[in-house]
Amino acid sequence: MIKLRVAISIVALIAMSVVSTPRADQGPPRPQPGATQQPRGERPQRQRTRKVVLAWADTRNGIAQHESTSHALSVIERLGYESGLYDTFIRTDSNIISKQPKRTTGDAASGGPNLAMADAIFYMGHRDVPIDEEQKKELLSFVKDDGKGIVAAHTALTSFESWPEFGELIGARYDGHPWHQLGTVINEGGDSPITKHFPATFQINDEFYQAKSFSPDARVLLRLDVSKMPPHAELHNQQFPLVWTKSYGKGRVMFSSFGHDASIYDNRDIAQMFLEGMKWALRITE
Amino acid sequence: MGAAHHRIGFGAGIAAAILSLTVVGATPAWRAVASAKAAPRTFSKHVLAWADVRNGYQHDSITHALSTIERLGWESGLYDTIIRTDSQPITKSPILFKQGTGIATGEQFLARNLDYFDAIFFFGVREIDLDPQQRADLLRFVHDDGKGFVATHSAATAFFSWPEYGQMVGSRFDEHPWGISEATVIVEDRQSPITRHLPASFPVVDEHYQLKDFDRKNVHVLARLDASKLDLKAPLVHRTDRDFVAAYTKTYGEGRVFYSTLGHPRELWDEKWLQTMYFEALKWVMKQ
Repeated sequence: MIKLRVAISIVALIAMSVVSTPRADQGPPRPQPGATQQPRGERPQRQRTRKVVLAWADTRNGIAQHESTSHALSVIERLGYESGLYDTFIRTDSNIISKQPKRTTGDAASGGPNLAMADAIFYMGHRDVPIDEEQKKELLSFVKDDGKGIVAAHTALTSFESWPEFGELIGARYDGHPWHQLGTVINEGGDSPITKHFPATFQINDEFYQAKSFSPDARVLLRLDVSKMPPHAELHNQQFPLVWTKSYGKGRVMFSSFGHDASIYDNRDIAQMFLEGMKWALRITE
Repeated sequence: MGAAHHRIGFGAGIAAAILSLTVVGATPAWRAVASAKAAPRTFSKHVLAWADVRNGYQHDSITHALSTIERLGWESGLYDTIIRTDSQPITKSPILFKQGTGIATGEQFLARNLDYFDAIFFFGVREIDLDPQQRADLLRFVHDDGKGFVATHSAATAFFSWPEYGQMVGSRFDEHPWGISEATVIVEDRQSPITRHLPASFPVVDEHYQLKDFDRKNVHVLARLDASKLDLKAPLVHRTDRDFVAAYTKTYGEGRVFYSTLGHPRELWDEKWLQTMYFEALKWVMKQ
């Protein structure tokens, strides 16, 4: 436990330097170039120096949403903002899952984020999300053909059960959550930038999602040590991967079973894992 | 880590909390949660941070504003936030699902509607697709239920074909004649909890709005722009009374409303004074 605390403190220091880039010295906000006195609704796209992430969690299909969803979206935004690595567009609708988004009326949207300008998606949808066949094609193509990234969290595993290709994209399917308690996690990630800040084993409290139909191509970074968990009749996967990466066509995919609990996104190590996962999916790191 | 999860009480504690809130550059309040019994946090107030941007008008600042509002509630313990860019929760009717549409087991769940929330933080832009019943329910939420409505910046451009919305919010957008520029904000009410942390006047770089269709008899002005420092010959300047209001409160039936034009530049949401203004406005509309 002492070892773990030391490890956490060290990682904390590293994470602080990564996550909390000081910006207090930036002075008052400055006018944004090219953004003055444009006709309404005709703003030119500001030159972007950062990557663009769509933080997408369409939760209209029931249980409103997990308590953690908004906090997760907010933390993902903050990680990109404070590190200066990416700009985030939070969306709880799915209109932006298209290279040419539509309004609710079906007309073309006037602008805003879309798959053509995004570099990666943070996805925390839940069960069947209402996107049409064309959007499904575009989502797959975004990763497979355009080489863009997806970082998916927790409920993402339950998504699109009736859409086989989504399972191939994410690398597994949802098979219940036998435990919501403290568990021991085994770090198998080796030198992966996403998990190398974790100790070889550590304990964490969350609702652990069980994966089935696990992709043989996926690389497991973290898994649950089921030998240390109480017996459970619905335990089917002795390997119990929790965090993995995989490629899908030209693109990169990361999934994390964390986190169900909103406060898990305040865990420095977990936050750093998501930031590093996003960097990897964005091809900032290898 | 149990201590890290304690809720901060209302009243004087919140003032201390807001002063110690994490702002960019300060130490983030990340907590290690390798804790056996991390009880879920509970919040007595619930805020819907709503910006339906499916029409395509998504300023870069909207996401950062929603995220900042979420963080202010989370770190202070005053409220939790549900961020939505769709308008499904804008109803007082139960949100029901057909069997099998959402949950594999075929169970039906109730999604949260307006009745769950104590206030809305609204950063919508222009026309938003709400059906007549949703519109009526949104007005009832404030007018009849006495809930709160905090509106920022482009909220004055929203629903321009819906007169009652204008009455609720208390003004309408009438161009931003100076683009993004520096203007001097004069604080008219330095007693209000929403603006008492501000100096008497101070410069702000923003896309300053010109408002119309407001009446000082119906709104309590907290801050305005210093017209003597504005270019009143800019082509789109329409106000002849030089009254360029920047923040006000009002009531709407039983409910409370706050609106401020300030909030277009994304970086402005990192300013502690702006965060405090919106946080205190949320407290005020929730009658804290």
